[in-house]
Amino acid sequence: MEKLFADTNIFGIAVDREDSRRGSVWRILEKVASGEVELHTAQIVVEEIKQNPHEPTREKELSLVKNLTTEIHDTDKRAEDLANKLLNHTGLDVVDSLIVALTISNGLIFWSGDRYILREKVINEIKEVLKKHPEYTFKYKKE
Amino acid sequence: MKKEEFFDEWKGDWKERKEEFHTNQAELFRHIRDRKNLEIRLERRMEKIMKELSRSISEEVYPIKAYG
Repeated sequence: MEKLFADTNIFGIAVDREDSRRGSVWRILEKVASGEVELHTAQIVVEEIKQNPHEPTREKELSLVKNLTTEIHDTDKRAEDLANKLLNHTGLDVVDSLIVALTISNGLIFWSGDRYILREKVINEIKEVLKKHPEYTFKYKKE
Repeated sequence: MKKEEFFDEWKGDWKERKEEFHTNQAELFRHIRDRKNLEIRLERRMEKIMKELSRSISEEVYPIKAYG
């Protein structure tokens, strides 16, 4: 079964009727709801969602997290170690390093609409870091 | 509640609220959100650049001072 790790922006896209990617995100969420795909995210993503200043959409995003995710991952030593390496050797910032590290260390597929993280340059930088960690692979799904 | 039931309800609820998102408030929200996200991202990148700069300065300048 496909196991996706949803980045913060996925929930933002899901509640934005103006976003052209919303249809695609909804189709995957349908698969999550029917049990074909497993959805994961992280506590740090939930904290980012809470920063949404628009109460109705914020609540809708949080209800998606609460009802559709299989697990909300918290930071652990393995993820922190990997996040530090990503922070020092890629263009990722502190929070994005941790989010990507949590995805990788839990063996999940990074599902994101972030055009910065999923650029070829950054993907190659991440893969370069992982060359020293054969136990990890970076898999992603771009919106 | 099953996940499928929840998601069907979640989408239905969206349709009921649709009108709300046609308002100027929704447009304003989008601008605030995009700008806020951009600001947060820029802030984090600047923080990282400053750290890297200060590290390279202490690595490059201080040894020169020490031997100079």
